[in-house]
Amino acid sequence: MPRRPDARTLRHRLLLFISWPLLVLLGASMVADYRSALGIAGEAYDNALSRTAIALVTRLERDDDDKDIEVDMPPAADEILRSDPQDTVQYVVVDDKGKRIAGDAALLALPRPAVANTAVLDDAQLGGQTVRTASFRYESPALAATVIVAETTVKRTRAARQILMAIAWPNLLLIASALLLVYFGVRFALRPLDALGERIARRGPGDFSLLAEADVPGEAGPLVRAINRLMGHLDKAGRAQQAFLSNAAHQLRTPLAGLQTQLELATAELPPESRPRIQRLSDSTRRLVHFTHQMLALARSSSEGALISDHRPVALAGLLEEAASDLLDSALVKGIDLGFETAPATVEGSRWMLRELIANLVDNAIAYTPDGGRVTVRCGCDNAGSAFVEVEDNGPGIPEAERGRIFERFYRVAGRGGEGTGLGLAIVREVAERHAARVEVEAGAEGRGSCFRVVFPPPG
Amino acid sequence: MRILVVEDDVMLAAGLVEGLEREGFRVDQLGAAEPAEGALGLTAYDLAIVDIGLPGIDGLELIRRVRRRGVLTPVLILTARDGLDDRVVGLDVGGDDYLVKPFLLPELLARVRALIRRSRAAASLVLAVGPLSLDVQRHSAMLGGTALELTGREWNVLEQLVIAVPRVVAKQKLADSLSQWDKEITPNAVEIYVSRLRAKLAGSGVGIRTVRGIGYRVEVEAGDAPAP
Repeated sequence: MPRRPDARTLRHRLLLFISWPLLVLLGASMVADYRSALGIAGEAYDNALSRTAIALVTRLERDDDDKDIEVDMPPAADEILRSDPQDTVQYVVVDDKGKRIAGDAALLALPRPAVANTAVLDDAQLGGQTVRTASFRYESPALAATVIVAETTVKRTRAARQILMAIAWPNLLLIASALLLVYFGVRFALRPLDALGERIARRGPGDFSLLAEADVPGEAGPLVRAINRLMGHLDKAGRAQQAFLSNAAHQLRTPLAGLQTQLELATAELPPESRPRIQRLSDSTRRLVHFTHQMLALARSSSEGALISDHRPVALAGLLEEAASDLLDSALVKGIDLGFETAPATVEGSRWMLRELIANLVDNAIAYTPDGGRVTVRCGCDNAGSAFVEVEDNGPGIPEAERGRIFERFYRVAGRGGEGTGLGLAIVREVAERHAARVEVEAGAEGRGSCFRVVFPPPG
Repeated sequence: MRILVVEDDVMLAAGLVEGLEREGFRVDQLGAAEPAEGALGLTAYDLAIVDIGLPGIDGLELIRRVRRRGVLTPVLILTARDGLDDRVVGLDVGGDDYLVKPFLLPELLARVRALIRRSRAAASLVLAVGPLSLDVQRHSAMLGGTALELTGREWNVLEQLVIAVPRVVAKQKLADSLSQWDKEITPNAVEIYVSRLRAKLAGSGVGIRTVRGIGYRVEVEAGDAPAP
């Protein structure tokens, strides 16, 4: 069946497939009622018309010389015959040879019945009007003649209209109430499905718990089981990914730790002429260590890696205080004045990821701010009640054209040195996305440097 | 001072042992949790450095077991995973600090010293940072061999800062701890005690650095370090 736009939801389909047949059935029953009522009413009128024809036949007689047929019709009787208040009644009496004996000549054009001695009813056109006719061909050894009575259909039409009205109103009411009942019935019947939909929609991104099968209708059982199977797969995939990352982290980091430690020890032992070489080795190792950390952080914070959610309320001010100790030393090496301005603000999120976000923003600011510069980290709530973290520096800033690209993985602004991996801001973006937060970049105070601002969604 | 290193990676373990020995520690090294459990039960180590990712019984289980046996030796956890859960679990089962691999040797040594200092503060011993030493039990301070006169509140602030080295102590935390045994102290009042302490420590090689907007940190001032 082709998909029609109004057949897209189950509700629409049910309504469509119940309402239309119901409507057709009710319509058909109304037509049938109308026809049978019309038949009964018509029969009554037809009987009267036949009786008139028969009455005329009884008045046929041979005239005195027994030669011609005549109708014993005093003017008063003629008057009564034609005295219908609504319809025009006409009649004609014709003898066997087609000669009019009495009545209206206009009726001579009407067909005469083939069968004798029975009233024949028919519809006909007379002077542009529809008429109902009753004709009777009388045949006896004494005489043979045909009587035709014609009556216009005014009272029949009126009766039909009255019957139609009498039938239509109850029927329309019936149709309307049936449709209404169907509509509410369908709505009520589908309520468990709506509830199921809402329950699925309300889930957090990392919620893979199974749906309870008990409180859904039987028809939705296969769907719920399929969803549960999918949830199970996702959960397993997420855990497998986490396990892989955790193993990879261990396998990468432990030898790196060994390498780094051995290099540091070697630095002190080697003769002075070898120092530059070992220094270069140390520098490369440090970069490798940093890159490994960034890669793993990105993998864990990216959508594929963060299927398992560990969101809890995190106080940003506390997080900044905690991060301060770790970030201070790299700032001191460059003589950068690293400061904090904290106001109470709480974010629903992953503490570890948020710490990575802050560390990467601050690392980035320190890396791209010249010696002796100033970096300020802020947190708090804005006027809309949204928590934010902000890192401002007074370095050279980022050209506006570059601001859209700096969050891409491995992108590095041309002409700027530093040993960045090009992953720091990508991690910031991934973590922000995990927390439905947006990242804004603008120039710092007085148009100098840059200011990165991460705004979290308002609570509730 | 005696340290037990429980690490199965040969190169890293050798590096740790050598690095710690150069700093004057006596170091034992084991590659698995089972012998380490016995060693920690028998020998009174000043510190244990335990890797989480050990073969067989992992480091977390090792810490849980020795803590259950009542061993109070401070434990520095080494972990290759940077997820918070590992750290929280590590500290929950009885670890005292954690360090994510890979790390620089000076960072490890700083953590080792800080942990030993903290456990000694708990055991009422002497805390030392460069030329400054605090006798926690007698509430007396020595600076380069001469006694340092401190008021009660000055002592309290300095003790908090020295115990925390190399971490920054929030100004609010200092104010809160002063308020515990005195009337309400504002964060601004803390500044007064810090500036008095700075005057007393001036020129000694130990200083108190202000971390704008957060608090303070006690540092050994290197000759070429930029002025705060």
